[in-house]
Amino acid sequence: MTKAPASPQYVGVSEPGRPPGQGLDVFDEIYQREFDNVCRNLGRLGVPSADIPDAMHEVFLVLYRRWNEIDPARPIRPWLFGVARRVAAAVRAKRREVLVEIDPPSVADPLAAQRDLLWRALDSLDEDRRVVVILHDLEGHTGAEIAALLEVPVNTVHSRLRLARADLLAAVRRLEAR
Amino acid sequence: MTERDLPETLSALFAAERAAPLADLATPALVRAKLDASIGTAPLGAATATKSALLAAKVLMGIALVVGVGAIATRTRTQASRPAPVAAVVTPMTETPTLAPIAPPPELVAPEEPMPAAPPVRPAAVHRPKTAPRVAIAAEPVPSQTELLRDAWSAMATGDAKRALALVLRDEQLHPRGALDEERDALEVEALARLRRFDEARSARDKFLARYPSSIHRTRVRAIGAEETSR
Repeated sequence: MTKAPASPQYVGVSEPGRPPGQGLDVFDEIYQREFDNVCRNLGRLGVPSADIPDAMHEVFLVLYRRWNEIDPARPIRPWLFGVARRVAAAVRAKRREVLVEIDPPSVADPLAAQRDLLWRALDSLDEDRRVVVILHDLEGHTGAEIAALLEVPVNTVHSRLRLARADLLAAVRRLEAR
Repeated sequence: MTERDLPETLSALFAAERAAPLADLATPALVRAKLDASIGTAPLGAATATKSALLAAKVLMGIALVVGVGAIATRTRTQASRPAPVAAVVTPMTETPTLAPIAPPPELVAPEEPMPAAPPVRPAAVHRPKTAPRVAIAAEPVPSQTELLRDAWSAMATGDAKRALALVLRDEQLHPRGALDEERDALEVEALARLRRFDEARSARDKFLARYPSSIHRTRVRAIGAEETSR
């Protein structure tokens, strides 16, 4: 059983005291390194595939604009997750409720089919449970870290995680049986 | 909650999702082109954007889609070459996130790890010092389970079940306890059936169903079994 990778720490993500515009190298580095992770989290948070490029643009635009507000001693990934969560919430709020035919999985890339299955299953969860299962099981944060991030008690995190996993498993079986 | 509380079905699904390619969803170069257009001449950390810049982003995306990334690569990205700012200012589309980043406990701080080589997103002619990519060069890289199984699936998709089976067996040797064992074992059943090695396919199928009783692949594996017993 593969454990989710721990969130990397970016020491020196920005350089306080230097004039704006001089941290481009670091910004570029973060863009390259975090691109996939942001993309995955947007999908996990319910952004439809067709909307992901625009949502990616939004997340990194916020990063660019808020660059000087970021604490360079803190990991950047949780910060980006927070932005992605807000962007995804905005996309979901705008999205019309339509019935979507579930395409059969592509024979050429079953990994992409399983990614699609997981994201559809995550989409059916309550927002609170979805966020916890993403942060814990996919992003590798501990219960204590998630509790601090979401400003809820640790027991709440554990409870949401247990329920999220049960809901997710049920959703996967339901979707797979179609 | 611990890893052992995680159902095997979800664990396998998470592993597959982490390994799944994203090229079909978003291309770094295209997103970056749109981002550069939105940023315009605003310096890093400046919370401004212009309506014209956002409009330019849409036009640029359209051009990029028509002529490809190569056209974008000819644009040098220097302070001097950026277009002049436009007066109108629009409100940022998203609010500052309230999630406060946290410092992980010491044991979670990632050790110094080599940066993967960055893809050539932007051209070489930029007027600022380049950071040398930090790449760990392995002498003889062992193919990962993801790489082997992706090649195996491609082989099956093109009708080469023999090659698919060879890759599956190689993966069994190199990665006897990998995160994608379930997918590999399902593929083995399919490859054997396709090669008309029905006794082995039946045996592999029975082993699979016994080992992974709640697998998301069980329906397909059973179907392969039913199909070949009707021959």
